[in-house]
Amino acid sequence: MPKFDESMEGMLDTFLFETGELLENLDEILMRAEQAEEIALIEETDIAEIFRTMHTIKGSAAMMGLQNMSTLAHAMEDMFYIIREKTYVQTDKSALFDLLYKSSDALKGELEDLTDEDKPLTDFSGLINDIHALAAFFKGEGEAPAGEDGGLPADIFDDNEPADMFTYKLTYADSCEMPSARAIVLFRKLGAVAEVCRTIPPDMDDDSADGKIKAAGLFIKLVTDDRAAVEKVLASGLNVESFELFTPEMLKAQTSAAPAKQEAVIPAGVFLPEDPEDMLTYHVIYSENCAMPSARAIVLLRKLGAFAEVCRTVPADMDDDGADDAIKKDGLYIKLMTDDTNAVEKLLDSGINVESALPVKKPAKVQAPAGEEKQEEKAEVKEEPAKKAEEPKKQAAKAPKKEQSLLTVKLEKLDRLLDLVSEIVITESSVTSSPDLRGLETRLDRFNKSSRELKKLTDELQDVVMSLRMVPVSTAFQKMNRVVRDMNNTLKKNATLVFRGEDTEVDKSIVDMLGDPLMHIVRNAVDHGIETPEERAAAGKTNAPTVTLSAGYESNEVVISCKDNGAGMDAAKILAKAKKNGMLTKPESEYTEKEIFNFVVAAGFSTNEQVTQYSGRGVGMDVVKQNIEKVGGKLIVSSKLGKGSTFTIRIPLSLSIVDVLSVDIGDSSISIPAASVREAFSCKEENLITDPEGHEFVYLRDRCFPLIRLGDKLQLSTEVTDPTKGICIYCREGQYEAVLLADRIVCDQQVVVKPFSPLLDGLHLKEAGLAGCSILGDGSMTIILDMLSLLGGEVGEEGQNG
Amino acid sequence: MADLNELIENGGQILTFMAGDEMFGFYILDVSDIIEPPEVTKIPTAPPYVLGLMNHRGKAVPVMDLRLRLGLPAGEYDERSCVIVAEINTMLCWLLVDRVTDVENISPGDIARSPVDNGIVRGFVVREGKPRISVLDPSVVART
Repeated sequence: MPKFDESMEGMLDTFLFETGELLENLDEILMRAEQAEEIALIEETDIAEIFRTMHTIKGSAAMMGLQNMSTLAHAMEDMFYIIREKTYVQTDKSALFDLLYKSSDALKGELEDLTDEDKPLTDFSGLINDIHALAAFFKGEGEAPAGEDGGLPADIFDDNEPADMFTYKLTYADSCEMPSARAIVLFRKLGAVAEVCRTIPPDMDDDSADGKIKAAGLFIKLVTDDRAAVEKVLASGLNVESFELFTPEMLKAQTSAAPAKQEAVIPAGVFLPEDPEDMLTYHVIYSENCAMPSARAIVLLRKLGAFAEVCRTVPADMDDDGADDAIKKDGLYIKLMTDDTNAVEKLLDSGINVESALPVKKPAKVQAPAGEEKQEEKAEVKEEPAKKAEEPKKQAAKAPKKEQSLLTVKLEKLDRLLDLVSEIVITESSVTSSPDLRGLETRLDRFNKSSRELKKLTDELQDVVMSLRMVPVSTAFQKMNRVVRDMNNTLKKNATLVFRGEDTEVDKSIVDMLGDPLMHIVRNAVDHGIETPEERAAAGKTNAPTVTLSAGYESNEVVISCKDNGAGMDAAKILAKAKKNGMLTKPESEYTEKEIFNFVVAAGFSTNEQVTQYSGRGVGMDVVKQNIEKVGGKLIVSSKLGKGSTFTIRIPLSLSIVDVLSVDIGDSSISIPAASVREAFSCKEENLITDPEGHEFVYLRDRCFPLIRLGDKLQLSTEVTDPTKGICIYCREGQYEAVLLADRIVCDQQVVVKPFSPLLDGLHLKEAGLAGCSILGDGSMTIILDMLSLLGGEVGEEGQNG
Repeated sequence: MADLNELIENGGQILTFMAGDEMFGFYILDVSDIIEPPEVTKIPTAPPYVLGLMNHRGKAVPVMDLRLRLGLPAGEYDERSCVIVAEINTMLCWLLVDRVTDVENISPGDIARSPVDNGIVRGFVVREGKPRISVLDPSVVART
């Protein structure tokens, strides 16, 4: 069986996204709620928010057919129901939050595994039991779980009660929050038409009354002359789901033959006299924990359409609000005509949450029903109108009223929008500066005014579209709260996490990428950086152990740093370790402090002697560095022994927009990424060196760099062959350095890098030193260089010689 | 991309054009547009048959010289020269040809499958009294 309903596959993305967001949000609220001294002091809005979140997750998981997630969310919701209504008698805050975090993590994990066909659905029953146990503990031990199983109170019927005493059994809707309060109102109303003698449970003000009523129902014993009036009052009671006249025989029947009865009762309307003989009837029973059987039924019926003609169902309308309850109670009856009963039965059995699907034979002769059954049936028919009236109200109360202020849009659509906007900007400039307008200047006043207006608008449009992709880094930061909290619990370091500049907005793709690196860095800071309270005391540190995450802009770069006021790193120790691991490439004495700290982020390096739960294997930081470099960023480490360490991440503002220095070579426009340009200068004759093998070098401030003539290298024809006539650009990328020769510098600008069409893959343009191209404001294009392969490919060996 | 096998088996329309002295054709469903030769931006280090890149609605689309691509001698292009925009799996490629001649209906009997698997030419249209047409596979033409 597939994990979720196949027909829901289209919804999977949305489900994953929304539930993921909700869980992130939940963590945030949990962190906030945990700050409260005790459970009673948690902000009501937070509790309501958690409650609502769990409710939404429960609903959407049920819709996807993910029973395990739905049940777990339901258990959490129940827990918060107790907290919200303050019906608890004792609390255990740390146990509660541990459990909540565990559940939230379990749900998150499940989301991640969801798309993996090989992994089965996780069984959350252990966790669910834990939550239920805690819930029971909260409510006080008096509420033993056994009492909730719907066991009927034995003392309903007293032997010496008068014969004209009626007993009514009321069932309140599950969503009814305080049935005891409703009951009190109801008794008052009943007082007008009847004399209420006794109720079970007896005391509505008792704290446990709610639970008892929910579990077993409310029994009212009364004496009256006007049964119709009483029943009317009962039917009109708020949240009353059903009521029935309860007799001692029914008590017996329910306690003894409860399961058998269910099958015997076939609701009216299943078999009609006019049904043709070959019409088959199937009785589908959904498992009890299926939250929305009607939704499942719709899916099932649609699938059935392929093999059979579905004539009729009981209940008839799946969209009806009452359908769920009807299916839960009596099961679903499907009347259909088919040639292929095997296929139909197979399909029915494979339906999600279907517990059993059995063909039902039309009763050949009317069986003489047992007395109780008849009565039961009557009672059920009678309760139907009351139920109908109640249903819409119940649904209205259930529907979560959520203000929608955010809209989720696919990133591809935004990219398309961005493309379109840049096209508009280009077209706009080609219209307003069209050569056809030349000579008309004197008559273009109004045109010029309108085109200035247009330019303003398109500029603004471009800004807005650019900003659409920007999200605050706080989304990535918030997650670290959880990391630090968990580590504090296990490592007992009491570190505080402080945010600075979390409103800084960066491209969405950067925020997504930041998640993992930040986690490793923060873990490192707490695990390696921050000392234990004892160590801190010994070092004479009085300030609180703090990890500070800050974000900000610096010249077209996002700078994100993680600073701790812990032990710092010992350069000598790191150097010794690096030596031991054979990582040194030059004499020890030549290493600068910065280079030494860079070992920390190299693969296979860990200063921690022991591998702990969180870090120490020396793998993490290397991955962090690679991740950051993949998006063109840099990771810088600095540290002061005894004062703390700082890890700084610098990433270009947008992954696709780069600063370039554009130059001309012949007729071609070539752009050099500004990040690798160190200096542009005019070369003097005496600084040019040619060795006997024909290699050309440029002598610049006591150093000798290889000269790369871009015209030759890129096979572009140009008239500027004398380096002194052109412009020299000293570039450095990674370990490679060289001086590039171009005809002239045109400008520095920001461009959107567009990769070459995949059709050109065969040309190996990247290996040739070309990163992509970019369309400029006037519609022309420029080619962007790939500095690493341009410099590295050729300079690799020569650079070291020079 | 349109399935060329369909054309060979069931017939269909082809767009015919001249490159050098020879007549070639594309299955009409492979062609998305015919336009005037554009200004192109040279791609450094690219072979001569890749004329460069062209800004097509915000995308950089490669432009190729079909003559050179097919190994024919380079020639002068005039005002009758035009560019066929071929679509290959949603990617576009512009192909410069001498001139577009016609759109012709081809019946399955007129077209013979080329024995070369995945070659640049997928089939030949040979009819009496008319020039031979080589039907090209745009995905092979455009892929470098």
